[in-house]
Amino acid sequence: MNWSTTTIAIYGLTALGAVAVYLLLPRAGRSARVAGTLLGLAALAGLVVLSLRSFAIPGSEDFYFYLLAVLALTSAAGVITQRKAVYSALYFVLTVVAVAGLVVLLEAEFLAAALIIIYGGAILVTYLFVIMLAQQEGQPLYDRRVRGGWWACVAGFLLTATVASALSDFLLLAPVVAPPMTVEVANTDRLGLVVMTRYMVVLQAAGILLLLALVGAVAIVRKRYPHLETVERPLPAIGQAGREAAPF
Amino acid sequence: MAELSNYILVGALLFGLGVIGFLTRRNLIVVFLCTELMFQGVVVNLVAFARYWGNLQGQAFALFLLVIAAVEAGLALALVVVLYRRRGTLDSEAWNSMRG
Amino acid sequence: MDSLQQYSILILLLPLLGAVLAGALGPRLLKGATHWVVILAVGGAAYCAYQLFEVYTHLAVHTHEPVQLVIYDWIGMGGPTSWLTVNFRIDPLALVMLLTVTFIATWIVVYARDYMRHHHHPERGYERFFAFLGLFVFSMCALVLGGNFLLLYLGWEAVGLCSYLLIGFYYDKPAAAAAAMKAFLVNRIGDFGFGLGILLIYLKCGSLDYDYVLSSAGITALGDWAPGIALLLFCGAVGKSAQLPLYVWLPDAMEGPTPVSALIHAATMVTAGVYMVARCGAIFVTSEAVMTFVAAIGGITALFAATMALVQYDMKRILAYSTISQLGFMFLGLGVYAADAAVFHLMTHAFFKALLFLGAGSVMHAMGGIIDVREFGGLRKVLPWTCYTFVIGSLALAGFPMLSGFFSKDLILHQALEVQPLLGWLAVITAGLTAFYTFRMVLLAFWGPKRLPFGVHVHESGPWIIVPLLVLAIGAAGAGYYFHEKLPEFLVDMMTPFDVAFEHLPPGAVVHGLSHEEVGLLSGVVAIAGIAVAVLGYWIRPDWSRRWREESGWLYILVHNKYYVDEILATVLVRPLQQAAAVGSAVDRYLVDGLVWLVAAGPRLVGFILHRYQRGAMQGYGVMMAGGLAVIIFLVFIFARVLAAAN
Repeated sequence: MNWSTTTIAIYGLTALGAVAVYLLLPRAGRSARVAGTLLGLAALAGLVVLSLRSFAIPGSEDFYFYLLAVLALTSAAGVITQRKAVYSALYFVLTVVAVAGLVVLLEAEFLAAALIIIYGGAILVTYLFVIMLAQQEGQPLYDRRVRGGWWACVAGFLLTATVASALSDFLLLAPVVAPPMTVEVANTDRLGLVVMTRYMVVLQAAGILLLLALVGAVAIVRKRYPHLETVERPLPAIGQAGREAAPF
Repeated sequence: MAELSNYILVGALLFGLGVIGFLTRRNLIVVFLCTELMFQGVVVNLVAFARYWGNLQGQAFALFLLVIAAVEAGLALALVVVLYRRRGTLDSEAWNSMRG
Repeated sequence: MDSLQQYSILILLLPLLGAVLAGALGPRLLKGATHWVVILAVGGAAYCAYQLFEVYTHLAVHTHEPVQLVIYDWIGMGGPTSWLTVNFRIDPLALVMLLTVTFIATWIVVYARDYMRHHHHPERGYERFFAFLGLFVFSMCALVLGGNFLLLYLGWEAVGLCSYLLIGFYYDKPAAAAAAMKAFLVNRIGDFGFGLGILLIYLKCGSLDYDYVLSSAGITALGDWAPGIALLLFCGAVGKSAQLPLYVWLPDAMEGPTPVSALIHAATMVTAGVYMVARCGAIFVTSEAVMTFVAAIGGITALFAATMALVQYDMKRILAYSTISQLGFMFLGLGVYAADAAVFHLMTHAFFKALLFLGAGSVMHAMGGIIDVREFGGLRKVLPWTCYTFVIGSLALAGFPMLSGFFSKDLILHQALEVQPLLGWLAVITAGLTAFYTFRMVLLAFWGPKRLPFGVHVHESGPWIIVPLLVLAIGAAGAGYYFHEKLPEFLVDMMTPFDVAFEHLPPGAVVHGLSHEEVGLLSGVVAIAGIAVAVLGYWIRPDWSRRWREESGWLYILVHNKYYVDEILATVLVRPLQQAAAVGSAVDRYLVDGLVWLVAAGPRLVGFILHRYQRGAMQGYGVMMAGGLAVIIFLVFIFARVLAAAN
């Protein structure tokens, strides 16, 4: 199989995945969730087969890679197709865990831990707080209906397919095999050395950035302008607002 | 050991799913969740490149990316709270006063 | 070396810091105490200038070689050598200027503390005034210290700006605003030539550093252009130093507060032109004709301005014309190869003219803002301190023997009589006129029966005003005697190009007429005679002066109306320019604006078509962005593939 057929295959399978996602997205009327799921699984299976045939030499680690990759992608699809924000957030935790697993396979243990702690812990908890704080009763309309999903799916598909095919295309011209790791010092120690020496200034800047964000978030949320809280014009009915503003 | 292109593909697909979610979902919180999804794709790519170049710069970059993600989440959620207070809805469609 | 660098940087930074502090903190925090910041800053600069002088003289006991200090790369254009650096040139000329400027400025700032506080515009803009003064001292020091023409130009324009700001200090007074604008525009004419001259220097030499341009290699590189460049540079000097025909701004500049008149429009800024010509002597002496031209402009201006000073009644205006006249003396000195005498006169003039202005300010202060000598008289008894210091200043200006003006004017007259006898005798006449109009003013204001404007409570000023007057009076009295041998010795290095050119003048050009002593005697006699005539006409027999005025008839009217120069300029220059401007305005409004409208119509049309796609929904834009990005990546990908295939 040469590289151009691989490219075509990537385009085709990504398109299939896009159609699956389109079908899975929440919308009015009868949704085709079963068909979407089936199509999505088919696309994933196709990708696995494609990658097995074209790139990979099957080995013991590969099983974990495929497992984690499929897990990451299915849970990511879950994030964007769920009708309840809480479920989206929980699916996102699953994605983070799968990605952390992939990162472990890439021998970056510290980063994997950091991902789970920061994403799975801190950031996701913040999201859940806000969801509970701001979520309306029941299932609001804006969670049950997406906005003009078709064009978005096409755009997303195009972006994904071009990026993926371009990258893998160039990599295929000169297949990259990971050099064997000659680990004498633990990953955490090495990363720490790099961050504390070479990226010292960046580290300081990151600290300042965090502080600024903290102050900024507090400043934004404070109720300083009571007169702005009043609504100047009557709100459009929630469904109407969406219809008025549909860009396409 | 899986090849680099496999990881790249996973990263790209995660990013693409994030894009689709970002463009379609109307719940502001989910929209921001989708940006985090895009970050995940980028993290996979960075770490994979770091592994295949045999150095740590990609990892360091990913670490700082986590910082940026945290900052972004904090500020974005603060904004979401403010917006919710003002309109009583999380619908992104409710905010279209920039219409030409 | 290091201390040289530190002191020279401090001289610049202290006044700037003072100005910034006064401007930033003054209105809110310092308020009435703002003057302290600037007094300390300018005084500190004066101290640093003195230290710089000490260090420099100890560095070079025998030779007064210039020291070039590179402070930092200003404009780097790649390559190993930097294109332009901020460098200072410390040599006797710069030191004399620095010491004069900072010393006089210090006392004027002290004086301004009281003058501005109880002035007829109480406290309005008090902080602003001091901030501008600091800024001015900074600019003037930059002008003097700079080691290349660009820094000179920078300082030149900056002092022009400060002058504008301070003339227009009472900006809500129409006369002041107009005077400020006039000063700025007239200076602009001169600066245009000055800028062209500097550009030509760069074109010919490829460098702007004095070190190179003024060296023999630089002069050779200038070649035949040197006289032309000298004329263009002189153009700038004519504007800044208020010589014919660009002097018209200086009398009007008296609209500014009196300390400003003293500092900027008498003692320091207007001498920048003299400094510049002395600095660029090597370029000027390449042509005898240019030197003659400089001398002629100076000599004629001196006489012309002195005649106008004869008939003015406004004390500050008399002093302004006198300043123009004295600046003319300096240029005469430069033109007859006596640059050291010119710089010496610059220094002594700074003392006595600052003193006279401050004295006039003190009178004005006491009179509640009235400065016309017809309105008051006989103030000798009520303002004793002001009166006697003013008399000392007047004697120095008149060239009374053994006072400072005598020595410096004497040197200029001596050489002028040798090189340009005609201009020399004109200058002698001018010296007599100077003595006359100075004492006319003194006698009208301080002697005779006591007359006061209605409703004015006269009071002598406080120590903040008296002390600067005393200090400057001591300088005006003693500086000439103290420096008349030291200064030319110190400036010997600066004189080299002038001396060399003087030696090479054709044999017939130098007339050996009067000896030094004879000239001294002559100028002393002339000065005393001028004073005597004034005493006769304005004190002993006041009716004589009235008779002189009536008998001179049309001549008096002509001079009294300042030779109608302002009116002639208005007819010849301003009106045609206004008409041209009207045409230009019409072209701008209909042609250019029309084109602009057409250009703007395109985007407006596109916007009209596209605005419906701006739905205001964030994610709609996101879709377009993602799609566009995908297309771009796709195209890059295809392009790369084609490239790969081609290889």
